[in-house]
Amino acid sequence: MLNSYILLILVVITNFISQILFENLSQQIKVEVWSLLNLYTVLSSLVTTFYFWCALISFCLSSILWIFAIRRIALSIAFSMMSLNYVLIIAYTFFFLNEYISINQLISCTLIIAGVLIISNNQILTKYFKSK
Amino acid sequence: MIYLALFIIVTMFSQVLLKKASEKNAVSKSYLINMIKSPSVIIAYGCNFVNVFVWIMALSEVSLLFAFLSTSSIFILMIIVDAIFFKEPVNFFKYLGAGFICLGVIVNFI
Repeated sequence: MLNSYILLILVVITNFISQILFENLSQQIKVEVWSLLNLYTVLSSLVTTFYFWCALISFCLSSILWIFAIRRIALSIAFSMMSLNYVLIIAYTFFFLNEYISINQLISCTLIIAGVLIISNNQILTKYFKSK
Repeated sequence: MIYLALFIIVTMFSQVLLKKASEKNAVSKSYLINMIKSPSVIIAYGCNFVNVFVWIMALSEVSLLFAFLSTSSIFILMIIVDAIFFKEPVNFFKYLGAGFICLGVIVNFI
């Protein structure tokens, strides 16, 4: 079970890296109307970039680690752990991109994390309150 | 927005397929090989591959923060999916946690 949680943390980190790389890629493509023709053009330009392959490798690694992680953990709990990704993104935009983070976003982030912690520890909390 | 919605639906569908396959192969010694050979996993990864491009398209329209907030609804939906498909118990604290997540998403847009 502990190994599964370690795997989940690795999933979060690799997923975070891929999201950052994909975000960088998305800044390079600004298409007004999506169609099969310009989709092909975008895809053919994407596959020639280094960032795309790094992002894709990171995404694939994250997916492989994920199938090991969900082996013993419920999907809802494993998914709630994935919200750490959100926290990493907030921290990244604040520390590396010097973007302003509002109080609302901080509260929102805190609430989401609290929710995730409650979901992750739902069985412990249920047992604790039943014993009271 | 359409791409974000599509991303959420495809993500949930692929995760259900992956979990179903992992339950089927959980006790096997060559877990990863059996998983890779499983049709459910191939379909799930096919969905994930398509989702990579859907995600890029979505991010080209909305900010990263907005995209992450929208996709946080997956955490709530996954509890319901988990209960329906995998008979996972849903107790008060799961609902409470989901409520916190919902509130967190709403607060961000006030």
